[in-house]
Amino acid sequence: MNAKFILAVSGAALLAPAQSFAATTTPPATSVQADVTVVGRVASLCVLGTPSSPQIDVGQMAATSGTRVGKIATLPAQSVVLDGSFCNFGGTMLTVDATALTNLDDGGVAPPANFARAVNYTATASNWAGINAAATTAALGDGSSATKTGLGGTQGTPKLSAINLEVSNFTVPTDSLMVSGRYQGAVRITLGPAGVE
Amino acid sequence: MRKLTAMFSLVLALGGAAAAQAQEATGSTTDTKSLSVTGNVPAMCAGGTITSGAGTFPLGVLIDTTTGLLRTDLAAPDKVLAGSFCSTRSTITIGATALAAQNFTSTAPSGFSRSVDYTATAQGWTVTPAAYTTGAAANAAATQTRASAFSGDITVHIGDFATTGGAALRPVADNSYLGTVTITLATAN
Amino acid sequence: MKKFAIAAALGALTVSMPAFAAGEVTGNVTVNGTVASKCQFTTNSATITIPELAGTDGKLLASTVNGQTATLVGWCNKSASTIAVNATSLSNTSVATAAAGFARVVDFAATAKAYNGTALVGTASDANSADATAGAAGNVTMFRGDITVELSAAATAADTLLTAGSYQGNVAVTLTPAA
Repeated sequence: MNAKFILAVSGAALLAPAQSFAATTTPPATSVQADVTVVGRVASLCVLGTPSSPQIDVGQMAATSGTRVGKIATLPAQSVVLDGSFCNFGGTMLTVDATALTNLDDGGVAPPANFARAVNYTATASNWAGINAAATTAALGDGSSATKTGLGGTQGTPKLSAINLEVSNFTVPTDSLMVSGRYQGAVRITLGPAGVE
Repeated sequence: MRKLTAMFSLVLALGGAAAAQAQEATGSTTDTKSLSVTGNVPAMCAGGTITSGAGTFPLGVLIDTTTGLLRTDLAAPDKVLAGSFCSTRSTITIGATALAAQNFTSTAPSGFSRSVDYTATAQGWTVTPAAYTTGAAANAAATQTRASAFSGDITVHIGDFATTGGAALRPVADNSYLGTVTITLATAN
Repeated sequence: MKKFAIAAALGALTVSMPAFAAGEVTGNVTVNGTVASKCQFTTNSATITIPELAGTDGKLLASTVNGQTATLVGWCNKSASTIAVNATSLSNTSVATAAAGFARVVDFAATAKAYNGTALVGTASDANSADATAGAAGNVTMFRGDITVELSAAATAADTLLTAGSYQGNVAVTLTPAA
């Protein structure tokens, strides 16, 4: 009797071996950039330098002999410098407010006939804009109406400067005799935006 | 297939405020400085000038030539010191010396006198004129005070002439009898 | 007797046959893929705002700039990628020309640091914002995380006053993937 060997032939249903895909073109290495924006501000600022002297003393003011004895002598101009003054923005100006000197020791009473208790002068602040700021006081003999204001021109760009403040041209109302005693006035200088007082 | 989502976002003011202090500028757009302007006027007086003629009161002949006694009508025009002033409170003081014979300088003989007294006044400076009588025991009115600065004319007057020693004495003969009136203005505290 | 010998052989054959579920075939597919070297910012912009650059004396107050930071976010997927920084000075956008004694530019230095999580993986700086050149690039290992940018060394020319107005500058951070 013949033996039949039935062998099942196993076979894997072999597919074609997996194709390696044609190597895809790797995109070129691309730089990427990010931006950090930096923003800042500088505030508008005006600063006056410290005056070279805190006060202006004109000293003894009356002539003590000659035809003008008792009346105001010819007093020399005096200056104070405010070094290192600046505004970091354009469109600025100087302002001066000048107050006449008036007598401190006479109790403020009206002076006698032929006498005055006030000294007028001109204050000029220069070295900032094309036109200086100047004020000439016009006090009356009794010391009233003592203050005057002067505005300077506009400085169009930021500026760093040594501002010069000069007092000059000292006169007495109606050129009267001067009541004796100490006299005091004041000059105020302001630096700031043009068109704003 | 995972999706890669790119996120684009704006982030403002990251971390900056924490890291650095925001410095507040304490300045402003305006700056002001003030300076005082000082001076002084000394206390002083100035004497002015004599307007009327020279500084001499011309009395002329002092005696009545019939009696030899002092004239009773002696007079001279007042002198004015114009433009005197004091810049503060002041005093005016008047002093005078008797008219004295300048050549006959020895003692007058009995019945005669060699000097003539008078009263000098300075008017216009003070309410009460300063007055000085030569030969008087006291002259309280010689100094007067003005409370405030003043400028004005001072009128100086002489009068009340009297022979020193008595009206019955006769002035000795001399071409020159001379006396002096002094006005002093002084500042006062 | 010969019958018995054959049966034994058959039994042995049967065992060695692989078993198949009826009707199925299985094949293997090999999958190949590539991942390109790449860097990307997921947060690619930020702003540092400095409220006031100057002190009360009108000059640059460097402490308003130094130490300012901003954070970007990004990743690179391959080590030996690089990071580079190019800083641009702060310039006054309101005023084109500085007056005598004044400056309108603030220079500074900028440093970028990349992190993988909390670990610092690379850094680069630009010491000079005044030139157009980036600083030297620095290597960065693969990472995904914050990239911090910090400003330092703020300065103006010769200790001058700063012109008033608005200022703007920039820090550009560039990631370049490894080849």
